[in-house]
Amino acid sequence: MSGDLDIEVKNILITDDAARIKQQLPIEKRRARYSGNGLPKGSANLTEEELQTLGNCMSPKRPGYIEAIKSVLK
Amino acid sequence: MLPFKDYNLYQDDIIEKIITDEKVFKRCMIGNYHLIASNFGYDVNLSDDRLGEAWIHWKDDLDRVNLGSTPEETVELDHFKQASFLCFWLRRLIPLGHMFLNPEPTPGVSEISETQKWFAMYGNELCATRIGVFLCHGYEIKKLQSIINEANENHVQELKTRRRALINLQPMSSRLEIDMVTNLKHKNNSPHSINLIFRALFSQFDTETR
Repeated sequence: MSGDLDIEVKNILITDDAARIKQQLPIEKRRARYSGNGLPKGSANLTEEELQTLGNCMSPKRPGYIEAIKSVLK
Repeated sequence: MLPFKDYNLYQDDIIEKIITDEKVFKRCMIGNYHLIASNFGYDVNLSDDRLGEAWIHWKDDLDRVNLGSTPEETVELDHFKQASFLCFWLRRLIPLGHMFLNPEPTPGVSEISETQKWFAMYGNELCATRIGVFLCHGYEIKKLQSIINEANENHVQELKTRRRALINLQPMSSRLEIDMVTNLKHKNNSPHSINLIFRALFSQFDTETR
């Protein structure tokens, strides 16, 4: 009997807690916190040279890649 | 072969371009899968249907997650979330159909290398990962540039130094990339967990108030 009562009291506390947190953090803020605030606007202003550097990043000759793959394939 | 400018993931507004037009999306993905596969000595064929499905699911997910219960609650997702949803669907729908070694190994003379064997197993997950990471990288540069544009003179030099470091950044080390790709293939990773991984890669450049 007392066990049932404990459970009931805990449930009320959890519900109260959730309500309090919800009041403190409006839904918009909670969503924004986990979803960001949209895509960055404007231009990255990349020069040809910088685009070249980033192009190399897309076709990387990475140090240690072959060794790392071999260790996975063992 | 498509011109690089058509599928360069670092071009301005690339997410906006590929999310609004299925054909542009497909061209961009085909270009990048080819580029990544060619690093490993492969030519690849992609399934047009599966690419189309990936695009639809990606778009649906973004619409669903974006939608709040009122217009005020509706916020647009950031680049990390958008890239992680794309990575998730590319990994899941496996658009990579066939791979061909280019040039073909000559029997008795040359043979398939260890890295080519690995790509044959994990190529789809690798392409999905790299596309997601490159998108995040490009938009992080853009974000920093917009901060530079509005910064006062005292901080501009420091921010420009940071921008240079960001451009030269190799976001994933070899081992981390291989571990992520292995994990994506064998385990279930939600778009939200992929989002956290992507954010962690660039956390040293995080300019938001902590």
